[in-house]
Amino acid sequence: MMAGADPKWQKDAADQNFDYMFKLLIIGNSSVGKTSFLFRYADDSFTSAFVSTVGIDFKVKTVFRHDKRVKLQIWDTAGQERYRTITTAYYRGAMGFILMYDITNEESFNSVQDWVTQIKTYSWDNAQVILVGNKCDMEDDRVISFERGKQLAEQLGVEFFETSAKENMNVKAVFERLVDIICDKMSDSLDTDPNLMSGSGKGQRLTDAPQGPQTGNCNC
Amino acid sequence: MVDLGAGSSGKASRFVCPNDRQLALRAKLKTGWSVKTGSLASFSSAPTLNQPLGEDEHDAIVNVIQRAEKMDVTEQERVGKLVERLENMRRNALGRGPNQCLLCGDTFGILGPQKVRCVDCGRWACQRCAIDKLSSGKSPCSTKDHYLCMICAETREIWKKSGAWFFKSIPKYILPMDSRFKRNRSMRVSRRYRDDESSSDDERKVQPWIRQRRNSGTESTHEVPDQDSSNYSLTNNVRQASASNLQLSKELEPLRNYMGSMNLSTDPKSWDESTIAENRAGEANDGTETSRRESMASRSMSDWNWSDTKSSDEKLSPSTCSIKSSVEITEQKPVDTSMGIIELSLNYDQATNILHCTVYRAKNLIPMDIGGLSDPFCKLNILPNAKVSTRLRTKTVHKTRNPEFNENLTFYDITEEDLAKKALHVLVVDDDRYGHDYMGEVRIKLAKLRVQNTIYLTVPLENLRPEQKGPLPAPELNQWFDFDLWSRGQILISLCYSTKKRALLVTIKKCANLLPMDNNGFSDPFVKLQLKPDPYHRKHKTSVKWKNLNPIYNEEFAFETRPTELYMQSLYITVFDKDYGKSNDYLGGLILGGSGSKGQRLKHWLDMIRYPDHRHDQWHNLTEDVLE
Repeated sequence: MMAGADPKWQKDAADQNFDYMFKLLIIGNSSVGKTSFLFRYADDSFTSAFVSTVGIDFKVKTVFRHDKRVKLQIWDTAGQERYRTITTAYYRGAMGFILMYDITNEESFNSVQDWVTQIKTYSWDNAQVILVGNKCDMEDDRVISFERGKQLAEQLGVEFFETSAKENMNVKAVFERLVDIICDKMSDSLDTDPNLMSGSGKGQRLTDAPQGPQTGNCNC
Repeated sequence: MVDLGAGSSGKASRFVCPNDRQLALRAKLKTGWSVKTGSLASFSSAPTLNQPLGEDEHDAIVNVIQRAEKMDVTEQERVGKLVERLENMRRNALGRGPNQCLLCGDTFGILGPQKVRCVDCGRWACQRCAIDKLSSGKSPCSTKDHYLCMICAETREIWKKSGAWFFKSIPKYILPMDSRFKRNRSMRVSRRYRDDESSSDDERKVQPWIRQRRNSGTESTHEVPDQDSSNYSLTNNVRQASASNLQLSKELEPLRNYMGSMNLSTDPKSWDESTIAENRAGEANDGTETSRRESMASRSMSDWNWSDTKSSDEKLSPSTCSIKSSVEITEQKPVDTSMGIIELSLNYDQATNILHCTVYRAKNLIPMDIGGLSDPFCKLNILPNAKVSTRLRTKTVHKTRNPEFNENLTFYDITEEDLAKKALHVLVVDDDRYGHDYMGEVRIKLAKLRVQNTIYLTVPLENLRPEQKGPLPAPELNQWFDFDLWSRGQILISLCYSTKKRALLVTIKKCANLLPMDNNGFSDPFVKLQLKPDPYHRKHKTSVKWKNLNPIYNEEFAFETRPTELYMQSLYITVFDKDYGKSNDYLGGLILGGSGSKGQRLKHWLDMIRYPDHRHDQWHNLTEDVLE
């Protein structure tokens, strides 16, 4: 659709000269800015016009991290409910999730919990998640405070960022942090689990993402 | 392909109306409802909410999926390169025994290199062939165990690079050699089209073929790249082919000579000419392994180069006339190496009536287990009129698709008369406790041995057996092939993963040919089912069918689980004879699962995961091994 004919994209996608390949998935309610976020990161472009993503899309970007070339295949999903069957099919291949809400939209924040449930239902257990509050340039329309976001992230046991795709704030940081987390996970999983490679497939399953202390501050 | 779910996004799957599974998870998370039904308006504000996907949407999504598949193929090729590198490393390891370095083969000692033990495999390597984990990684280990031999270090790298660390197993990959085979095949087809229609538009012609192959529903481990990339690879082929044309004229020379000298007219039907051509080409290149691989590629090119010469008949010299006949046959039956090839030699001793058969090796066999490897062995027999005395097998070579058998098998009492009528049947089978899976076969007519004492063969394996459809084996072949394996009977099972119920539905349909265990000549069979590992330790049992060796159950059982879990779980099916007053007799067992099974059983399991909400029926043989 958008990048299909782009020769640069093709070169990037066909390139085999990298060390690791991570598949990431951006999820969140409709119109929180997932596509803008991805375009900012991959193409460094931004448009404020809202075009709803049809089903799924992805972009490829190769980054350097710790002397390693990491190829990221970043999946952008449609937030709309009607595409849910398609989007959930891609959860299983994803190593990392960017769970996004819109700081000017209470509804999108309240849905975070449901998205977490979706992740737990469809993804591999050791997938990594980062919570992102987007559109933090729109300070005047803010309805979700930084603290509330932070608190929810702690509750879920994930890391938290506030970003702006429009002003290019923290966009790169989110991806870099996610890559770091996955890298850490990778070296841990091989060092701590020597049975893993013996091939029997009976290596211990990693448990669910650690759950933070239950503070009782329910955001309902 | 992904189920686009146009129709299935009905009310049931709406986000605000979760099913039990989601409720259970919610309960676990100790959170309440975050979406209030009152605020539903924001969801349903889109008027098209529950409408099926439009044409353009469909196209857009298919477009993305195709792009993704293209990337997946690239990725599989990349992983294939890594795997091959590791395989080469393993193959080139020289060390024999604990006194030598595993890799370089240097003998340890006071003057020799100092030895260190690899943490992962526990074998000894010299310091040059091992890396210090402490210096590379940050994990603090005990002082002694921090060395990794190069092979294990490489294995770890592959686990990281392929993403296997995350998915807990090496993902699907395409070995560099495989892709070459694949290309050759598509090239040959393009040539056939050209012959038929004398059109130069190769690219358009190949596509329907590829599409047809995709739609045919056969499970091929190495997917053909989608259409766009096939265009790309095809142009590559053409380039490659034209480059090799020069070379071919040289390479073909010995072949032509051989074909010319051979006396094909004596018994033209008894011998498959293409096999001889194969054999010769293989022999001509009897050098290192790599050169043999090259020969495979060049050979299949030579196949179609001949069809070129056909068009210019008048140019053929009398000495190469025999090629013509072989060309026609080759064209009728294009050599298909998708099942792999096998190298062997036959030697007949007229004085003692002994047939010596040496099985050297097989290459590029089809994969059987989840790691893409097999445990092949060969069964040899003289057909027709199979006898137990003429049933021989090679040893099993484990965890490889390129086994080196190097084994000599001897058939006694083979008369010259037998040679004229009979054929050597070679069957390659995957060795597995729970059933031996078919990996291809080849029949070699023995008539040729009347003329020539020794022949060398490099032949492609054929797939002559359709998937097992029913419980009763086809008479002639199976009698000797599966005789020892089918004694416990068969079971027809239907598997279905229901996304609605979030459960694996297992239907025990029927059993056939069970063993009689009771004095009355019957058994009273029932089937036990268990999914392992399962945190809830659920077990299911069918009813008992009294005095019946072919019981029909049609009973369905549900195991609640997630699709991702299923890759790790296995279904244990055991059949017992119900007895009162003493313990039940064991009739047979079967394991289906991601980690525990191979071949047909693995395929059945994976199909069930890949295509949820469909019933997958399949017969399986029961094993006599008692499952824990």
